[in-house]
Amino acid sequence: MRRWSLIAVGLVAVLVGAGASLAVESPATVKQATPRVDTVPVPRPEAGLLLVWTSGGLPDGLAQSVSQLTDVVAVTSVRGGAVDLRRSLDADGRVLDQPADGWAVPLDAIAVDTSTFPTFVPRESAPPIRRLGPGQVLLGSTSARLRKVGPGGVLELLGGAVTVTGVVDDAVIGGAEVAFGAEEGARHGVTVERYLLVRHRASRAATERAVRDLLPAGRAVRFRAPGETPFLRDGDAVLPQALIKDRFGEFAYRPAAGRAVEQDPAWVAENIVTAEVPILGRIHCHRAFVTAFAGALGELRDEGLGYLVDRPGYAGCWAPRLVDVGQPLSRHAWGVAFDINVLKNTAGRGSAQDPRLVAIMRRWGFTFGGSWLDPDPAHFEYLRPPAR
Amino acid sequence: MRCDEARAVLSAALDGEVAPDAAAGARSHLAGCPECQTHIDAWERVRRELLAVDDRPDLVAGVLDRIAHQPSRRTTVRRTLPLVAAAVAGLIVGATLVSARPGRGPDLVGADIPRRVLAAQSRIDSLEAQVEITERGWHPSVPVRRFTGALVYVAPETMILHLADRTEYPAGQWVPNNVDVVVDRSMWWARGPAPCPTEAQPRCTPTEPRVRVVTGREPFAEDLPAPLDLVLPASGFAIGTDALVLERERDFDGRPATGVVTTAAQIGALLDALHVAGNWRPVPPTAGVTLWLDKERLVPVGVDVDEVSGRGAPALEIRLRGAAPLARPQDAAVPTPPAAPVVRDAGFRDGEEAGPTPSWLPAGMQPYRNGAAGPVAAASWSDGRAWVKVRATEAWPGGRLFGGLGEIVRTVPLPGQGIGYVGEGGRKVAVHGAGVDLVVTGSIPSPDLVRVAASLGVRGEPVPSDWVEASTATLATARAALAPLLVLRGSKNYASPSIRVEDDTVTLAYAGAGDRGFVLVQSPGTALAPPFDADVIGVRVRGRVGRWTPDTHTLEWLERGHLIEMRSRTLRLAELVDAAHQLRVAR
Repeated sequence: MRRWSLIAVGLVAVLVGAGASLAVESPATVKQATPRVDTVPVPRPEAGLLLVWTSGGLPDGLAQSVSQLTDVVAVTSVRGGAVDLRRSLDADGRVLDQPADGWAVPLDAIAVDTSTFPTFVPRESAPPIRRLGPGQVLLGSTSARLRKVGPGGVLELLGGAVTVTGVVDDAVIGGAEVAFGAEEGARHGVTVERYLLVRHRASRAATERAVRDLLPAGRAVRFRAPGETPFLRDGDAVLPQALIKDRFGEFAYRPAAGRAVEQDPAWVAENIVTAEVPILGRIHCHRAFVTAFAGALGELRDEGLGYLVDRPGYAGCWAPRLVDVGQPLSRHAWGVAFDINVLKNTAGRGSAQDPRLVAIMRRWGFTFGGSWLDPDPAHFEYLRPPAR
Repeated sequence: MRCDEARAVLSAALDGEVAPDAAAGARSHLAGCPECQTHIDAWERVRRELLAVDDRPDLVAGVLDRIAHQPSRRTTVRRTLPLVAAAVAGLIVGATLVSARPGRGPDLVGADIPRRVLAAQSRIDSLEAQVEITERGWHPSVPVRRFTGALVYVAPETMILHLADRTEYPAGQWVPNNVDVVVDRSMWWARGPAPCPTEAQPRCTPTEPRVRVVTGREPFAEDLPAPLDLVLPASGFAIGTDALVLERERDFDGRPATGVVTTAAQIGALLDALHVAGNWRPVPPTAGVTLWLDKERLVPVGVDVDEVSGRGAPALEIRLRGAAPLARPQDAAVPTPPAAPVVRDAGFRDGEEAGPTPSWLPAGMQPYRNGAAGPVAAASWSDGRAWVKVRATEAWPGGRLFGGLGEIVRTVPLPGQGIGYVGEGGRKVAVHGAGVDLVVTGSIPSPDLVRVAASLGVRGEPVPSDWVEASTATLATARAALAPLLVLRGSKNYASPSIRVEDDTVTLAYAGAGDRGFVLVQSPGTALAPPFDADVIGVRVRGRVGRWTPDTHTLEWLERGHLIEMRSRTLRLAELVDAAHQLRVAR
């Protein structure tokens, strides 16, 4: 027994000694053979929530079809459109905004199903949405700041007056300026189904496949999950109108022929300027937009890439117009978008823009219409300040 | 004397088995080998601890003798003593067995490698090796290509790289990718198939090779580089004090090599050697790489580049077989350049103006080449593969620093000589002086480059306010411009950041080993902008929801009222997220 103890102690000591020697030889720890870069998983935000939208509105019945998918837990369909503000009053009845007769302030609106939509928003934002009734509206936080209106205030819209019952974070209502219940929205013409929010059990890929299978053949669709875009809404590649107003100002307008509009002359005089820029020469844009536009063109010139901009193919910056008849105001109306090389870049088709030009434009903060779901490859518009 | 020999002798000397005189050679080796010094110091510590148990230098025989012959006694002490003795004996036997196992060279551990690679530069005067390259996935019709050739190097920058394409191509107009790159002082030439997109192969490659011959080359010219990292990958280890090493060694031609796990960005300079001429499969900077370093010489005897998918055989394997110093470096035959349609003169003339001369250089540095190209004078020094170069001009038009330091730099005090600007993660130090602008570059550690710059006798002034680098800031300035400011703290893998402040936007550029690095931009913000691209990914970073845009290699998120952006083309998303987790509020 004693001998075995000695042998055991000796063997253990041999191993310890060998280990100690190895440790001595390796003053720093020898690390694992597998690179850490391969072993660190990148965590994803909340799984199981998906935004689904198609250009020009959703196909009829899509929400119903999606709700019947096996692994879909909940669906809500959001309608969207533009409404015109004639006058606004605070809770005490004092007039805040009142464009001249025949003029209106454009508002970006959504209309939600007050029973299903609240399950897709943070818990604290759900009650005011559930309570939305006829003649009532919620404002996004940026919209409330622009309007200087809070709960109890009144918006006199083209379709009738509504009372503001609350203010929610912009992201809760997809960056819209105002949110109605579905019925009230219909009274103001907000009837086109724009996007779905879907809660699902299956993988994202499987859910996307299942939804695609429900769409008409060839119909382009965009899926987004939380984190990928700040506002879960249709047209998520551009800034919501509320944020464009917040940065570049708000104006009243009135329809003109076709998709043309007239803008408040005072706003135009104050904000639209004429400037000389590299390559293109004279332009008319928003005064806060010119620096970045000129910077991008200057960089193109300095890099020897000025030839990538075809001077006759420049189709302007400021243009008072709607995106199309029956659609919201174009960003051109703010003078914060421009079209270049239009002769070779037709809307709805693939881009013929040089990738180096696109890269420079992006660096200066312009989103590229060529990467949109409904491509407009001649179009660039303000998205963010230039990258540093 | 080799490290393993020196360690064996010194260990024996510590135990009194070798006379002190006989260990003199090993001790002189110790003086020039910090790794061996560390090893011996550690061994001495263990030995002291062992001796504290039983103060005798030669324990084994006595203990075993006692175990064998001591009669059993009933006291506690006597019962315990044999067990202690057995334990001590076991410890010694175990330690001896491990230390004495065959094939041991100087041990490379992660924290050792960068310093040792840089230190090894001065010990390499020449090298010759057979080169074998296997490339997979270059073209669907040519899944595997094999090359053999030779590499000859004579310090400081004479290089001869010849690669012959041994691939059996299918029938058609495939052009063998035979490549030559030769650098010899002012002469630089390369021959290989003209570059052509892989998808346009085989027909787009002209059958005649493209030949480029340049004379009048400046020493250590950036635009006409000698691929020195093929000999010793110093560029890949100039920044950072740690490396990820494999647990197991591997033998190359009977010599042990240590595997360093990294990405292609760290050895970009080495891989670039292959892209000087010919058509090769592109290697993305984030591709996984195992770099095999000869344990003694630190020559890169093997490079395995992973498939981007991380599966299957390596996309690229490079082997240096039989790497050894040349017997007679002075006799290395440099091939004469082939006939070329145009011979370009880069304009450098040896022996002309040398510009300011440093009063301090690292020990061992000897003058290499001096001269000028137009208004720019250059002087260089070398010690083996290590080198330093000073370029100076009195005709710099301004607008930005002379020397191509990159967009974001940091200031550094030059003791007694004002300030300098450090760029490219520490690989360049520029000085804007009165009437002269200069830049110090080299393969030596960044602090040594700063010291060389400070010894030039030129007082460094801040750049004029209209120069690009005028927005260069200190950490204190940046913190004052935007608080709380996030900075990387405690990382061994990145140099001190270069910092720029423009209004309330702070940009910090972190350079890592080789081409690795990232830019961190912070500005006030309450919402991310809509995405530029369809292909974006929501990720969780620092406990928040963030977004990864693959096209622009940008990770962005909101934190404490700030928009935070991390951009890198050389780090993977997982690495960026990991670096993001290491950010701390600057104090």
